Amino acid sequence: MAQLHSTQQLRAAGRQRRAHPNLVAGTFLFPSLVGLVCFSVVPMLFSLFISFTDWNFLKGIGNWNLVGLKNFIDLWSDEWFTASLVNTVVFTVVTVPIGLFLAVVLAVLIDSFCAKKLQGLVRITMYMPKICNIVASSAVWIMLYSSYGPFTQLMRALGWDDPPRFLVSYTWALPAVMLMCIWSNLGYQVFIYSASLTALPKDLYEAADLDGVNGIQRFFYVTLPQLKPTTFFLTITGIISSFKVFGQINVMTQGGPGTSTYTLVYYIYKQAFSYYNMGYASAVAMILFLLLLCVTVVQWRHNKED
Amino acid sequence: MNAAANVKHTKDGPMLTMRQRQLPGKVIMTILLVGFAVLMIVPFIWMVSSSFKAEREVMTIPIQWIPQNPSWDNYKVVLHIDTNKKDYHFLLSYWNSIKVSVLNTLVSVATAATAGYAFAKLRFKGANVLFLIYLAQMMVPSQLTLIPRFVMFSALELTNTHFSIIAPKLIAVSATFMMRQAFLGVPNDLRESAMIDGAGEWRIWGQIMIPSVKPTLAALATVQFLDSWNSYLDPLVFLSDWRLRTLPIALNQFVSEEGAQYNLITAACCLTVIPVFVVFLCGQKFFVKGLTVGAVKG
Amino acid sequence: MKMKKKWTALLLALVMILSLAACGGNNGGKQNTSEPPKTDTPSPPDNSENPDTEGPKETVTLQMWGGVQGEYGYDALVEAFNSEFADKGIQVEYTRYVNNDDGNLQLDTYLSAGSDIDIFMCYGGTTKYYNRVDAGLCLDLTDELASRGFDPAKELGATNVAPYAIDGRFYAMPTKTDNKAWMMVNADMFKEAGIDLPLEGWTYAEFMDACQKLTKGEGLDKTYAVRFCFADTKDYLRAGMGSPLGINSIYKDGAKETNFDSEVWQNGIQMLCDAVEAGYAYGWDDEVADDVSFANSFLEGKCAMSLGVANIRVARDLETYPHDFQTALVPFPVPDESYMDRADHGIMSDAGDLIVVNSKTKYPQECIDFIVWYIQGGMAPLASGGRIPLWSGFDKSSIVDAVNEGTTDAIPGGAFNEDSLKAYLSIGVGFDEAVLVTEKDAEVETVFDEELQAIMYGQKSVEQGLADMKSRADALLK
Repeated sequence: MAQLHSTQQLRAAGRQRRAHPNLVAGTFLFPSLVGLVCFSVVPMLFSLFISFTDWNFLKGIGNWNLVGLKNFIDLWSDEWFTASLVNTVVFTVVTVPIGLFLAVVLAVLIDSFCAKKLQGLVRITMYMPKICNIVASSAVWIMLYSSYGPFTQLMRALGWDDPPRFLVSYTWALPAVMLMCIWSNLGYQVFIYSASLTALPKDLYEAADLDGVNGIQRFFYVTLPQLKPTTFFLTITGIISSFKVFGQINVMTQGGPGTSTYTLVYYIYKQAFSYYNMGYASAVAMILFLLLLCVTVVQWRHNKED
Repeated sequence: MNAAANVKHTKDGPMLTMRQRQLPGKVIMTILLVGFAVLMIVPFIWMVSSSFKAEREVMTIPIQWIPQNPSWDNYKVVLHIDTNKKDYHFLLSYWNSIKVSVLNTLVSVATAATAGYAFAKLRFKGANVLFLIYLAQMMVPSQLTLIPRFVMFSALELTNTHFSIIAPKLIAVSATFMMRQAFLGVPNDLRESAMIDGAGEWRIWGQIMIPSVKPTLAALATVQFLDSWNSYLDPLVFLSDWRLRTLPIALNQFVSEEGAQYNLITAACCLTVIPVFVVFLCGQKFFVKGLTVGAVKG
Repeated sequence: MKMKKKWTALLLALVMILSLAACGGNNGGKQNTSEPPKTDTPSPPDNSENPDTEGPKETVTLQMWGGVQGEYGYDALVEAFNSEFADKGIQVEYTRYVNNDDGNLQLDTYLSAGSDIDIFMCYGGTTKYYNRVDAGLCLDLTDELASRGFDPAKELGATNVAPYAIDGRFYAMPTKTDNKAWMMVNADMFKEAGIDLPLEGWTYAEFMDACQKLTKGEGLDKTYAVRFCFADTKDYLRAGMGSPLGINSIYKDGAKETNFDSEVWQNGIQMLCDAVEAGYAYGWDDEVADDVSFANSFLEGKCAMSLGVANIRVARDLETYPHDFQTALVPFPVPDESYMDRADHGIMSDAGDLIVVNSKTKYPQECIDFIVWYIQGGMAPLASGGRIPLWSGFDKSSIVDAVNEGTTDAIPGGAFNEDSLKAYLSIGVGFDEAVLVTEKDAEVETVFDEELQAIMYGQKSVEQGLADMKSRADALLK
């Protein structure tokens, strides 16, 4: 009897557990789902919708006209947009490879040559720029780049007689911002590479040592191929984050001079919040989204292959 | 530094054979690398040094790394102590930044910890579809949802409230993934034995699961805190009232209005940056872990 | 372990509350949504409509937003109004918004979200005004003003108010006048260099001569002759260079075409290039790269002349910007002798600072009472800061003393040269010709700015830049 009772209880308990898993999971997921719907899915759809309208924010919600693909067509004859797009792509194509190359070299050098006790310190120090808020580091770089600033002085000392004013030059403003971005991301990339280096299998190195391979060969033929997944990860995150570059531009150059440092996010910001052209700005945002989508699809394919 | 030690530990093997002949090279390389690291923070060194100078001394040639007459005057101006210069309310912005960052951290860590657990350990209908939707959200840049969020909040008269930048943290997709990974690493038998004891999911979560993922929680909290402390675009758009401004926005206004007063700007920058450096150096043990969890698992 | 449990519980509770708040905030009705966040966040419009019960009848408190800091006149203005209207049951509170993109965004969000702003100042020429009227944010003032016997044309000058009438209706009133074609000069430096203040006007050639005498030093210690204000609004340059062409310096032919092919523009821009080239003036890139502002160049004695009459309030604020030299106002030069009859740039005297009533205000009557009071002398406290009331009944002679008030101890003769102030105030206000206004004003100005920048950066020749300016702007007008 007692036996029976306890099995019944167990079964009842079991049924109870089995009866409510959705509900239980629901309670766990609820806050997150609210966020997902309110701040991601709905805004996303809304954004898609207003990108097909001529909506100006001042006119108020509801006062929009559907204009079909007009915004998406107009974009291509808008020199500010094309400049933003080109700048964003140039920015990415330059900063990501240079940054990653520097990072992997530094990570390997630190790993193999730096005194053990100093390794952590060196990495942490290099990481500092990344944790500094973007306004402060941009402000500091404005000063470094100013006519009598340390960076300009350094260039003079290095034999560049007449260095330009970097941030206000049509030619040099974008490279100057790029340099600053490479600087601020380098520490993070070094960190990730270092972490991956620890996980590499040692036998390959031993084999390479036995073959009498020198350091540089070892770097190119053993280390780099091994770090491929990490490089891939950092490339993707690097591309995504440089597609979204905004803070540095807004503080350092405001897109100028001319259109020379306009980027997509900065242009979205200007169109939406200075000129209130929400429809048009959303169209630009959709283009940005499509670009990011392409990058992500590449990432997924790659992940599947592995 | 803990992590660094770990790094070295596992690599000792392959290096041993070359150790002896590399010693002088190592010394030089170490010096070079330390030099490079210092070069990386030269902007900050210059920033700190300039913040103690008078306006005229900032741009001297050659650069004075150690100010001749260091003084706190610039800090006094920035913090509006004994000065008739404009008040930028930095202390208020400090408080706002702390408040927003702490709340953001709590919200995102808490939702990530619950949702991450659901995805890792619970079986429910539609789990796979939902997970895919979450995955897809990773591609949606916050800049894309910025305009609708702004429109939504302004329609609800919620722009210019801290709520408008805290609430969206309910959906922290990458944090949810990080927590999911951490929970996946907790063995199932703990959970099962607790279930046999009759514990509900919430109790299991609170008493068993959370304690076993504490390091990840700490890491996540550090990452989220720094993220939110440094966040710029959202507060710029949502908070135009000076009483609600967070530090980066206050600093931005300071920079744009005091333009060429480099001594003051560097002081203001120091005030916003130094505390984070301190937090970072204290919490770096967790932080390092947090970064690598996020990165290596993707 | 106990502690940990408590912590978890606390955390959990917090999350639930926050998520519930979020849910309510987005799915619930409007009425209860703003409750959770507003309890701990001060937001300006909150404190407006507390019905004051202390008076015998209900006192109405109007919320006014403007772009000028309270201490430059609005505090005094509000105080005067409140004491005068205390028994009439109207009070006003002033909030400053920053007149830049962010500040205007804030204002527009508040306005379109139907908040409690009753009156606001609208800057930035006709473009912002037209947009806001178009969006239905501005109350039609025409009939109410008429019923109070206020005739805009008579009180403020017909040509001054004409650009603000839309189909014969007024949604705003201009309040102040200024002349952007005048500039501020360091009178002490002029005296030292032996140059008389050219109060009657001067030519580009004379101007360049003066520049040469006023430029001194090298590198960080350099004193520039002039700051053209490139990094700021280009309104001043447009007014100064374009004034020989008359009030419609940008458009011709009923605004079907722009004037950028005129030699006046060519001469003007060539002069700018020459002055920068010779090192007399900060280049555009200098101004941007080193953040050259009125306060950190002119008021620091680092340049002898600067455009931007809006800075009168800054130049007389010796407490915030201590300096010991006297400032004078002189007109921008004209290309050559043949234009000397227009050298005082009288036609460029411009009406501005639109005062607007929010169309959603609950107290339209009280707002219009305030506006009339404001225009008819109520804004006097702003005059010392260089915002000269447009009202025809205003006694301008009081401004000279008001501007120099409190500055005579530090600077002999006061912060501003009296003769030059008188000359500035006596130039004719208004014009005969109708002002041409188009919907494309803002875009045409952007084209002007972009091409001028390309010229000043040496990307284009003056001829090329002007040709592009003309073709791009004309295309907009088609």
